[in-house]
Amino acid sequence: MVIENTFLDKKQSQNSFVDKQLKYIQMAKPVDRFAAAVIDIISVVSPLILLLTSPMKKQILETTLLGQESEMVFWFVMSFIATFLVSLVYQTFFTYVYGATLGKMIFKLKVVNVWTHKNLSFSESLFRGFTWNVEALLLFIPTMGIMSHQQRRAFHDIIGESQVVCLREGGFSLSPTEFEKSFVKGVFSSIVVFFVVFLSSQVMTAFYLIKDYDYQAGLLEEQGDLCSSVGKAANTWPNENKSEAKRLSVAISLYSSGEISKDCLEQEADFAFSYNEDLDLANLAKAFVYSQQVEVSDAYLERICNIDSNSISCKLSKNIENWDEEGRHNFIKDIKKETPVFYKLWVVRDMVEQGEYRASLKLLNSLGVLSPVSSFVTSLKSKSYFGLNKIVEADLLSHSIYENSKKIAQMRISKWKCYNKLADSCTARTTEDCAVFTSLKSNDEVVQTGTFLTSLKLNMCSTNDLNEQKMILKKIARRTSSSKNLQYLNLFNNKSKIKLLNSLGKTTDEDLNKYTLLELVKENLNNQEMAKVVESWRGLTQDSLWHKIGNQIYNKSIYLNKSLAYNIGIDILEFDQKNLILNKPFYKQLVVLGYSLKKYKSAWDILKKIPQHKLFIPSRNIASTTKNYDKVKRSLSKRFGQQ
Amino acid sequence: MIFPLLNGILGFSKAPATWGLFFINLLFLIMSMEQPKSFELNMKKLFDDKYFVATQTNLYLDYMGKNQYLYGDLHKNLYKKAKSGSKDQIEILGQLAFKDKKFIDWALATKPYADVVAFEYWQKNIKEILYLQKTNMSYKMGVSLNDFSFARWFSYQFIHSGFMHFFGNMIFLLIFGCALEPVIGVFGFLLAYLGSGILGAGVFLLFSGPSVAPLVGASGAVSGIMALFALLYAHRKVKFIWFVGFSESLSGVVYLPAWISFFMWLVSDLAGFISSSEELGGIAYSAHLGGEMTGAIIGIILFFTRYGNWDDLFAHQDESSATKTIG
Repeated sequence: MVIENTFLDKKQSQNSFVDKQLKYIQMAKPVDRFAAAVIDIISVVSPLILLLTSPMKKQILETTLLGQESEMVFWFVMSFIATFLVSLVYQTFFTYVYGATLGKMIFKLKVVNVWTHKNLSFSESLFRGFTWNVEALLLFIPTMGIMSHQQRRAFHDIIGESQVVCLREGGFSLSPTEFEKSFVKGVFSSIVVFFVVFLSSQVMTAFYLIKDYDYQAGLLEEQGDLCSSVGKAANTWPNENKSEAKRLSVAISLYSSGEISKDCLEQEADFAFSYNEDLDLANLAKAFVYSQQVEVSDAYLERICNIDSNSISCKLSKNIENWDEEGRHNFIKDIKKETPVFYKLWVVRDMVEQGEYRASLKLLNSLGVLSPVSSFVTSLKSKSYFGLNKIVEADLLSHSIYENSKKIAQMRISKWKCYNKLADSCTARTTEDCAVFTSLKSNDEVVQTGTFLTSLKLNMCSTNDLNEQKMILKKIARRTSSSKNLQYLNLFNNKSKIKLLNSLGKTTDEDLNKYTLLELVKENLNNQEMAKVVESWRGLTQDSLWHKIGNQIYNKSIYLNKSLAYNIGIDILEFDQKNLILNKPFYKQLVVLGYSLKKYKSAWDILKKIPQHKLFIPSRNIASTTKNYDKVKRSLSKRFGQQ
Repeated sequence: MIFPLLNGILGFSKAPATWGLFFINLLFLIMSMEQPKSFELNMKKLFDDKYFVATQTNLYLDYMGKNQYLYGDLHKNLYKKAKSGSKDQIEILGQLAFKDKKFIDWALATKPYADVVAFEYWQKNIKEILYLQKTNMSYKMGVSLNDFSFARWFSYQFIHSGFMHFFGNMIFLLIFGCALEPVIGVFGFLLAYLGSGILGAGVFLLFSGPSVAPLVGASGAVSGIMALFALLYAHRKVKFIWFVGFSESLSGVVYLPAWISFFMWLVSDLAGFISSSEELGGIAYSAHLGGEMTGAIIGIILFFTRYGNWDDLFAHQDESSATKTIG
């Protein structure tokens, strides 16, 4: 392409070339027009727009930071209008006065009236400029008319009654070729198809969202209510417990009962810190909030006793430090009438999880009437009765809280009962406990409420066809990351279950593979099968689920192949150390196992690593402390020196 | 994209100062790439640590509450929103706290109170980060409110934050340096380059607000020599390549007067400067503007004193080569 320097050349008069050759319209080449537009945009329009809109950009930035959405939108619209106006004024002015923009001048192009071949009038320039800018908003798609129109006129040329001509000799273009026309047709067709598909999908999504709105609103509403519940609960705390109705104590109770989130509890703790009140409770609350960060949690627990070594919180923190089986029993023994409610709630939740239903019922009955946590207490009672096979009492209790609860709360209350009842018989799907799940339409709803497992079991109960059940398994398990729901496989017999699990364990979804392994390990596997499971397990990404699977494999392998179990134990130990998981009983067991396998040096190394930890995160899947540990420890110490 | 071509890139013998500066910058780039990444990794770890960020935010809110007079409207509004519990603003303030020297100094010097555990945890981590900062080239050589000693006003010009930053500055240094140095000589060129860099840093520090993020890069200096070139060649034809795509019809050469390029750069830097908030600090547009103004002033002085090879300046432009075909 040839371009000439125009700035120092003499000013050109009315283009005599065009006047002389009126019957031959010297249409400008599309690429020249494109290049001229590029020069206009980059060299002229953009700098002006940047400068004029910069104060507005600053406002947009500040209002975004401040979360002032309406102001942000206002400034955004203003900058958009400014951009539009600058471009419009530039186009209109230069086209009207000079017959060409600066970019067109460089490429020796001119905009003329298509009928008279003279300069455009003001209104024509204005309409042309306006349309050009609208085309810019549409990504210049309508300008493709340059490649299909017989006179190479884009849409803005048609509106402005204009045509762009070339003033250079030899720089003109002929009418569009067939190839250009087909190309433009192809592009337009693709754009139309794309928009149809896009709009349809948007309409369908909007319809789904509207339908689901009430459900979503319910979830958000419930989440929003949780934080303000502390104040309400403190006001309604029963009179006999009024002395401990301090806000933070109530908050910890609510947290223990799952009524408030960690964020809420942390807010309460920070509030107490800012007023220098209940510092022991505040530190305890923080220790709970940061229970997953061992270093931080330990520091808070240590601080409690520094503040007041006689406080209940200090005693509690010391019990937490020794949270193994022995520690748990001491913990429960320490409970008296005057023990704070939050302490009791924490203990009773653990009791129910451990299956100590009689003890939990006794403790729950001693709590009396606690309306802020009544729903939690009642559901625990119901679970305890269910665990003791007193179904009538269990149903009565859960029914009593059921009626006054929202749908989400109903599902939380009912999900474990429905699941357990379905384990006995699929006829349970008609009971009240399962009824709430039948109305769920999408898997997203199910996943959000954590009731996936129950819903899946319901699905499985609705058909006797094994193939259809398998289809349900694959379809739902693959769609969500909550594939822990493979537990429903209990409905299959052993052989088909292992076969199915094996086929599922080789998908590209690592999460699904992990959960599949978790289920596989529960089966009666022989040495070979277990070795394959271990091989698969070692190839997975190490995270908390990997850890859980490892523990399961370890527990099984202890009886199958001790050497394999020991090697797995070493892998788990390495993970624990990296992630600051401190599991004394497990380490002790590993030491004893290593000793029994005559791996003395390795056992000694593990023994040296057993830490003096503060907050123990109890794991239900690890075997209890071995009795022979002390003997082994003495023996290893003699061999390798004092610890 | 539109790009100046000028005289092309000359050899070392014709532009020794330009190449010298280029190699110094390259050397420091290699040194900075070989440095340990522990600072960046630890910074990322800290920013991912919600406990640390939450503690920092609480402390910052406390500090801001006691020292509101130190802050502009944006900070004050952020403070109000954060105090009323707005999570987004809490997060933003938590991030901004890192850049506030006065806050960091105060928090390190204060004995922990209220949530002592959190405070001590924050202090421990911040001290670690400040220690690691010393190993980071940008902080060792960059200029900021933390350290604006005399040496830093020079050293910052030779360190870049990454390869693209380096490349962007050096390509313009080579293009404009090779065009300018034969005209104004080595001494004149170095004076213009370093002088623009120094004054660019000065303007940056003036407008950096409370932020302690260091300024690095040759942008201020390069802006200065670009401005100098544009003024010296004001009405001369300057060759620009324009480029949209990889084909003959989507690229070409165009001749424009140099003052247009100066206008474009000045306008875009001015726009960037106006659109940024000084309270958020660390915006390099002010350094560019400082450099451009310095380059312009030096250009005017050189023009009136006729320092340099002015005959060469006019001899470079060949009318017959005004039209060129590309491709």
